[in-house]
Amino acid sequence: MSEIYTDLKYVRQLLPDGTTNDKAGIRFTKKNSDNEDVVVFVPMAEGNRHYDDIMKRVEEGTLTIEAAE
Amino acid sequence: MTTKIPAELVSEQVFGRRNLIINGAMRVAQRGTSATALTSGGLFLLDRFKGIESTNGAATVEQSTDTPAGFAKSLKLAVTTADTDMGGGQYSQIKYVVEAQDLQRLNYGTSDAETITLSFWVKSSKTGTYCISIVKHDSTAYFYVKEYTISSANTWEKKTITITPTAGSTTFITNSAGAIADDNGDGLQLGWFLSAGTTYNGATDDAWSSNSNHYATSNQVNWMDNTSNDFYLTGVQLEVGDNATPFEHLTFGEELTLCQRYYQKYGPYGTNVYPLGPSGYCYAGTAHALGHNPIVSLRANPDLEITGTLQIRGAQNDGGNDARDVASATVTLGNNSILWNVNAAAGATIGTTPIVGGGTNTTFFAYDSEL
Repeated sequence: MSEIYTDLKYVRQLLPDGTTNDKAGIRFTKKNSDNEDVVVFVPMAEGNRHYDDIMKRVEEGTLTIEAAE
Repeated sequence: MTTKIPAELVSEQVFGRRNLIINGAMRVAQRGTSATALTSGGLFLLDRFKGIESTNGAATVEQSTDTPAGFAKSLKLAVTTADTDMGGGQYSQIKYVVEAQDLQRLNYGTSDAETITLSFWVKSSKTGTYCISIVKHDSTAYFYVKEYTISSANTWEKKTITITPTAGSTTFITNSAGAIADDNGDGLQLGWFLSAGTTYNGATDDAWSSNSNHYATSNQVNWMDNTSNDFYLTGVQLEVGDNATPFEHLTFGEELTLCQRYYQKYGPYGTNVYPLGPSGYCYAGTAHALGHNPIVSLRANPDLEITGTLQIRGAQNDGGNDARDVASATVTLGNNSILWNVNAAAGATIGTTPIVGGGTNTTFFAYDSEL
């Protein structure tokens, strides 16, 4: 079964050169072992297990990433 | 550390860091130790070992002090909601993934492929036949299953499973498609199956297969069928050779350092609000670039996990204890360095040199680079 990603969105970043990257990363939220809220920032990098999983499912059409706020 | 190895095993075994498993004694638990509900996507509590429960029931994972002699900790699973009828695509398991470049000594993909031996201590209130699954993903994926039996309820038993590269009279592993890439990816997946529906339980015992649904045999018990069921695991060792040697104990520091390649945690201090590490410069009213040297080299570009309110501190020339909540962040792994690009609340002064700190005394962050 697949991991459940709550509140999945792209991350917008203002870069040092003054440009803005609307897909600088991906974020989602989860609970940790103490039931605390955890915000997870996923890099846009192959080899990261969450990035690989999210992109595979986006390509399959089973997952959608919201635009950055 | 001293390990006694019987003379009859000496001639055939590898010595020095025999164990390919990290945290096999279940001592390192950076994320927590108390009972936590498993999820269908899987949950790491004890380092490197992932619990997965994808059924109509529910189960928890925790670190336990119930162990066989010579061990201090074990991984414990317990059923909290029973599922007496495993659906076709349902299953539950404990999963461990070995990094590919650490498996080159196995010579998979050649006619010299090595026999490997998995040993572990197990205890459960539910007796019967269980299955170990091994999956080799690189190149062409191949699947191996071996049954073992828990004979006595609530009794620690040591199990030894020897996996030959030609198990089931196959040549999958000794042909070139059996190779494991020399990289930082997924090498071998080990699964201690606790239940498996008909989609996944069609494997043949002690045989390699190319069928991607072969994770267990039809003899696999349904451990999820009663809320009194528990399952303990420790002393996990995977080594090259035909025999199981005694468990290779490392110091806690060694084991923790090995785990930190896959997960490392910074803070909390618990008593006050202090800097947590990364420092850098402000390049816009809301934007900051910071650098951080991780404790040990991470396997791959990690997730940044933030628990609590992380803040940028010292980014304003007001002479005070300026603190701005982190709104978003991206991390990029360099050579033993991590670049943070952080967006925080507006009003920072360009050219200041802020640091990352906790907004409360329970705030912490972690890098997650697990397989």
